[in-house]
Amino acid sequence: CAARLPQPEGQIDLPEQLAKLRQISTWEISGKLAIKHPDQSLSANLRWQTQQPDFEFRLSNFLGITLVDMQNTRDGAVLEADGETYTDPSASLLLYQMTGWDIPVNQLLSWIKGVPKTGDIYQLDEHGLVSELKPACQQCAGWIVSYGRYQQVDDVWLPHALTLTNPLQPDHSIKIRIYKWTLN
Amino acid sequence: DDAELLKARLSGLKSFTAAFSQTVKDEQGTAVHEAQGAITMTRPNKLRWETAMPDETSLIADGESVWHVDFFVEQVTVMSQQQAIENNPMVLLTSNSEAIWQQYSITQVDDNAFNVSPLSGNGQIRTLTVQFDEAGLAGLVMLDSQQQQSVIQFTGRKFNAVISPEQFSVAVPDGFMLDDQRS
Repeated sequence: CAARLPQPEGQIDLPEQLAKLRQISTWEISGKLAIKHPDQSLSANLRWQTQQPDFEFRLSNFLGITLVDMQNTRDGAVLEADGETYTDPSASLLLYQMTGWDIPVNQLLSWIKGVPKTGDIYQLDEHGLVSELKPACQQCAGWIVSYGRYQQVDDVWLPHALTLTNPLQPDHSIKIRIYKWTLN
Repeated sequence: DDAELLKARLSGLKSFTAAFSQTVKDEQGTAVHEAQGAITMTRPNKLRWETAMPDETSLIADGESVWHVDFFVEQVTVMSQQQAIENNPMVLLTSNSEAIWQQYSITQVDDNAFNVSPLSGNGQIRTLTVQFDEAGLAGLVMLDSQQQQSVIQFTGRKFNAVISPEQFSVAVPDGFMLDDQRS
């Protein structure tokens, strides 16, 4: 199987790592996203391209067919489905209205790199990398983000697995597996 | 007409097994996703589509129902095959039913390729291109309404080998959720 990719050793200088990560506003990830519910779960291949604040968030099924293609700019989110175009100031709300999938896309934009904002509570793993984040922002509504599978990309350590859980909705969780990070 | 030519190309195909590599490209041609897996098919109406890399997922059509085993969320979704194949040109690879073939427009695009599109204009796949070479079925290209292309190449192909029925039976892995969408 795929060779074990190098794991972080020793102590990572977190402030220096976070400073570098905060510089990165253009990135692309390809991976898989899943939403777990007690009665029905969904998973899809994810391709997320970002030039903050603009991004393109695309979900496809395993045959390679687009399920959702959403563009986001300063003026809000636009989603095309079945030949119709839908818009909303909030990407998360638009995605929810169109698909019923509750994914905090806008907030995830800043969580995905594992960079805490002022006021966020976070824990570190044995290497000094963020292992869990409790965001403090109001619309963050109780989400807890846990990080794993850190691997080096260029000169920063980036998570390749995230799980979002929410005590307010205990039976609803979001799982993201990142196969590839591409930085600017 | 072109439908008869495609039917003829597929008529000699009783069963088909192959490894596949898949590259999904967006409308600019940049790679969105890459995967590898295996396909097993017997005509009529039976198909097993398994991706192994980068993650495990399998789709099994047993002639009555279509089972989707998703290891990432630990769930098996099952729906009636009738429902699953609606407006999906992939069905022509395994179906001999005249009624189903008539729901698709088929045009030969070169000596070895045919484009298949649902006449209804619905369905996620706008056009399926079925590609052949001198040995037989060689590849597929699925184009969706966002102009995203899923390009599939078959290797290690075996034509008309004996296929065990086991290939099309599904055991729900323990601990997996069963989402039964059959009406």
